[in-house]
Amino acid sequence: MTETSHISMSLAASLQRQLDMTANNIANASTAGFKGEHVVFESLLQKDAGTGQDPAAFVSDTGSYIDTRPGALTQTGNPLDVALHGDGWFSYQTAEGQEAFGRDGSFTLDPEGNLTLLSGAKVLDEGGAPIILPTQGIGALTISEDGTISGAGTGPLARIGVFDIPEIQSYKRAGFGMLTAPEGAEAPKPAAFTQVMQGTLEMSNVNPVREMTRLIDVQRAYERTNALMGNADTLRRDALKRIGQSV
Amino acid sequence: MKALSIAATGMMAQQTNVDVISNNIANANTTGFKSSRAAFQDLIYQSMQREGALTSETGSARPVGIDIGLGVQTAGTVRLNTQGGMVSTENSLNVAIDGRGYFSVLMPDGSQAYTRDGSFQLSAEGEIVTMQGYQLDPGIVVPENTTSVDINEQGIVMAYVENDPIPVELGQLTFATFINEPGMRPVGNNFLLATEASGEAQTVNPGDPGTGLIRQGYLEASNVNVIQQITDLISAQRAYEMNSKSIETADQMLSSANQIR
Repeated sequence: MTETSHISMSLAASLQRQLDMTANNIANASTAGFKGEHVVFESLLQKDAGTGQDPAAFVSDTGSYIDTRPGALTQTGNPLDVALHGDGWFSYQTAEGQEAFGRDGSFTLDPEGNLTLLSGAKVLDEGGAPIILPTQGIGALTISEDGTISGAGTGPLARIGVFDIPEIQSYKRAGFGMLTAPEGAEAPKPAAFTQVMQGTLEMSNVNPVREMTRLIDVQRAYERTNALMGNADTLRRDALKRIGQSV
Repeated sequence: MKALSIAATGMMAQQTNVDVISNNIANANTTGFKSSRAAFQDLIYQSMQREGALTSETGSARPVGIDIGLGVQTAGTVRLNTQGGMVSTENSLNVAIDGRGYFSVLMPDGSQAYTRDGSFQLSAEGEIVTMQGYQLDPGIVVPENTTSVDINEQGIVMAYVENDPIPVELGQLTFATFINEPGMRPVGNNFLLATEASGEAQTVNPGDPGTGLIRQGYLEASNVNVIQQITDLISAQRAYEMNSKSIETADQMLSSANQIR
């Protein structure tokens, strides 16, 4: 009898986490390079739950995955806004010196000439070294499709690193548009067929329609499981009352 | 349930977005104005279950974890430093910068400010001043009885005095350039200040490699793309509404939890 409530509760707890995730996806609908996060459900079968009779299937959200589909590309005209067309990830160095990866191509320069993200994380080249541009006399910057940065009349200055990470799902989300590699992960290899597009930003890949329908789904499933909990409670109370009467 | 606070960060972000867009639209006709864009970042993630956690004694590991993000924040407003359109005014003291560079202006408190607005005037003493009456740095004084002022592409200012056919050279308009122009701080009145982020001003002459040229008789219009701003405004409003739906859902779910008994 008590499993009914516990099974309902396992679903309710998972649904709350799914709601949090959906809310976070929606909150980041305007974040450049953001990738949505979705939850995976699984039923957790327990052979002899409590009484040793029928098996009970609890709900468990075993993991969440990163939606790696590309976001919409928007033309911004800013020479330091860079989008990736195709698979591949930019490589950054956080203020703590840690290497991280992401698709946020909203770059800027710091006074020392480092190419950075707006958060101050340095953008790395294909060899994994920070990109430093000369601070004087470079004029308008052009970034070619292979990521080569050149100034007006200066020739190539650096090349933005774009890496191929097939096992991105095992990477940890660090926030601020960055993912960090798990311990013992292989160093990613440069991506071969990814196009770098200057003056363009990759926006969030959150699909508003899917997120809104998920909100409805989550809410209704939550209401159902709560109703089930309520029913189980009524049944129990009913049973107790009848037992009392028969005495 | 974190959804309430997560959605609140989303609504605040979209409010900032609308503020920035409104300011761009309000300044669509401001000389030398550069449009801005609010840029966002996701906040940190809370790991409910870690990627790579061991799932058995034989060393099998969880391929994915459960990461729940805590919302969004504004990373900054990025100024778009593209060239604005050139508007002919036929006023000899209107100059536009075609390319990179800022005019350097001496503020009343002795500090430096920088501007792309070249709608200059003459003061009572004949100095070339901005609309606010602040002098250029270095200052240029136009002598009395000047019939016309000529400014060439390199910024050299020449004056034709009385009936003399040979012009007098008065000086040169110089530019200040910065390594990181979006790092300059806007202070209103079309002025920007140098900051730690923009780096020190480098004084250059118009026409130097990597800098712009002077166009006399023109003003630089704002680079605000009004159509883009309106479409951005629409998507900001819808994103705001979506976040409020998240709040509504969380609220109704909590209310349904309260109704269990």
